[in-house]
Amino acid sequence: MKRFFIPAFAILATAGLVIAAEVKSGLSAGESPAAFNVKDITGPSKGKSLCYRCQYGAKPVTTIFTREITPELAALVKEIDTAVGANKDKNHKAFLVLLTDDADAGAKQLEKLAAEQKITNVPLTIYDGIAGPEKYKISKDAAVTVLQWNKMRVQSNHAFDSAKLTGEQVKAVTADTAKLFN
Amino acid sequence: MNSSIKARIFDQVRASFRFAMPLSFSRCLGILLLLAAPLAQAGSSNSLMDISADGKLLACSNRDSGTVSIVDLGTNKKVREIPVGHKPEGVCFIGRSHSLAVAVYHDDQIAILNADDGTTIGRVDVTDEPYGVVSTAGGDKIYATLSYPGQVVEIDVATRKITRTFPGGAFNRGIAIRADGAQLFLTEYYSATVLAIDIGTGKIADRWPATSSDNLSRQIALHPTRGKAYISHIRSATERAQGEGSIFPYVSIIDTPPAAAPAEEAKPKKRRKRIPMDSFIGAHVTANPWEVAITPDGKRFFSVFSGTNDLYACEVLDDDYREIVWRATVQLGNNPRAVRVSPDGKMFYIYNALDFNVVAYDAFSLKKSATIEVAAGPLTEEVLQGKRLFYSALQPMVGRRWISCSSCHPDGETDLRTWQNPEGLRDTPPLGYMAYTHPLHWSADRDEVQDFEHTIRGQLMQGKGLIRGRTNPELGAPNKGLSKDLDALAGYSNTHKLPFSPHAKAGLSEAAQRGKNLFFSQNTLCATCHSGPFYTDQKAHDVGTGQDDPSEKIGPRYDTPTLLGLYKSAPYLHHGKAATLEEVLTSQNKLDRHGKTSTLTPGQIADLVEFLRALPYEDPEPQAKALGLKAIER
Repeated sequence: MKRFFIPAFAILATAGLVIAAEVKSGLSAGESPAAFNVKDITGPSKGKSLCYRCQYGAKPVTTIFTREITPELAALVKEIDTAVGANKDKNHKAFLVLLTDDADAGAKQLEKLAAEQKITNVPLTIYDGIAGPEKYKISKDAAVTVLQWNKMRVQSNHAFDSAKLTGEQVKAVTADTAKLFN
Repeated sequence: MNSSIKARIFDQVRASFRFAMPLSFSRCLGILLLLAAPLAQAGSSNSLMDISADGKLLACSNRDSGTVSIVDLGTNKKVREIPVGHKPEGVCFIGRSHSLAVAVYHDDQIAILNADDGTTIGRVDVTDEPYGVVSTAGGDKIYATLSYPGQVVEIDVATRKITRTFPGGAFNRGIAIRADGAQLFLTEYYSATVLAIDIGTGKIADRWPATSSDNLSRQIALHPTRGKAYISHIRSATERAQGEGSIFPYVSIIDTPPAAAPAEEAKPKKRRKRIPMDSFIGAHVTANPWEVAITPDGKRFFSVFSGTNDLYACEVLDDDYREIVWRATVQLGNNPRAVRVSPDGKMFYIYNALDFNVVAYDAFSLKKSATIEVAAGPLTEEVLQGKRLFYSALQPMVGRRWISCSSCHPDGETDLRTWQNPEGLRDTPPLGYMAYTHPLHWSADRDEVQDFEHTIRGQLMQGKGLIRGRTNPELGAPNKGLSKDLDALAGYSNTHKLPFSPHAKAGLSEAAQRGKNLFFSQNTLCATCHSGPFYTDQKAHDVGTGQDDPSEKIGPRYDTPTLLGLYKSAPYLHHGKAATLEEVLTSQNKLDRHGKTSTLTPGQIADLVEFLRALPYEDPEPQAKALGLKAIER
């Protein structure tokens, strides 16, 4: 048993070192986010297709594009959900966009995520196609791309090649969330 | 936005849609490949329209007219219109010849025509519902999908005989043939699953499943060099009947490896991608994608949307990721159902099914160069207007563009789905013989098609509606006569009929005859409610199915549906909980409230099912007339 634990720990540690590297993906700072439709799975427009980018307009917005749901990604969503709740007076808005080729399976994943993490402020939505909306330039190498914009201009961009985000990476994103209101 | 501003924008967009490229290595390679293989092979993928290999002739199926029109592409004039039978669908030129094959859907025939002189060379009887048809490059064989019973037939052109029948997919409609003639690719209409059939063995060699809600995939086209197949389809998200949450348009792209496919374990996991056409260019929504086409050089891609009457012109990316990018939108005529590119790639042609014309466009500038009338309008003015409304995903029918009547009732058929409607689960009924089977809806809560003004204005369609002024409540004072357009919609909706069942082509079998006796016997009491030539008493009854759905709001009494066409409309019952006719008579009728069936032996159940599958085996209208039943015209 001891012999098993050592290599297993080593594998996990090694994996922890290589996962979730930053990659280039998504709109750059200063670019304007384009309109696109998503299917709302858990938000106030649950069951409908709509353009949240359009609905949120010039408000400060955090948008998470992801191709997989992991515990680490769930932790990021929870952090953003908390931030939106805390910044209601500043009109902070957010939505998650799951990029998937199977909307039926994706919807179940998002419903589970919302229930387990008690996500109430961040609509969890689906874009039915893994490449995402063309104008957003989501890289095929990016498992997660977080864009934050205000007054229709992107202020920060974080992209990762895996959804197994480290605590530091989550903090880096949320640190930029705080800057949205400056 | 006024029309002149729109026109300027389109001109700008058109101007941007030019793929000026240097003569790169890849382009040189493309030219060499073009010279080496017949990439723009006529008849290589199914369509309502085809262009001969020499680029001189265009043929199109006129579903409403029962004809095929031949157009001289040198003069852009129709040279002849050939009667072929009821509801022709797929048409293809055979090899490099000017001979044509046409799938005559309702007559269960493949017609072979001479486009040069308009003569019918021959007709080949098939089991049922031929839909798509393609030809080998050499023109010695043609292959046709039989939507029902889900087969592919191989026909020897010289002898006009069926040489082989392959098992295909359920309700397979789309069909394409590889340039090397090694494989066929099929689409299952109601699932958008794609199948590959090895022509040598006749066996299914590969399968690309779709998601559980994908639906209505009727055509497939192959890329000339990239090992990709392209299909358009919708998604029927049945959990919500709401304009912006029910029907979604897609193009899906399938990785099609060479016929000598790698071992199963070597295949990449992702072999199918989907592109949402309601979020392809901003938040612009399109509806009811029908066909796609690719230029012979493989660089450009076109997709037509029959509900929003538009086309996306796209650039093909060789990236195995995004695959296609939007370059321009072109407004088309009414109900465009087909797009085809000329062999030289310079022109593309659109078939506007409800304008009865073909429109030619420059494939680079996207400018319209000719409008060719291909058939005299076979419909009355009223029915034509009603049909245009039925297929429209635009105002005044629809507010949010995603959906039209035809999204769930394509050509009066069913989408084979059970929807979570506000009143409970509701299986989509086919519209055949609706003129004789009012009231409408499982809940019998509408007594005229005009009552669907409430649906048009409601959450599902969110349209402005067709009545100007006050609308009467459902089942209240008639809405008929309040709107010419609404009456036209009713007029079209009431035109649908049904072909004879393929299970009774030679009359009722012995088993079906035994089943008929049981059906009309006092032991089963089936005919007490399923009476008359349309097998309905047009009344609502509680048959014990009203407690099965917790979301039910109106039951437990449901309108007696017609039984005509049951053989291809599973699932059954108002809530769709019976997957088969056997289940209707057994597991879904344990208390004998839906006829007395619990005492029947398994053999008797099988006989009864055989009879139900044979409906209709005779034309019900003469009997209806003899009984004094009148069809509702509008």
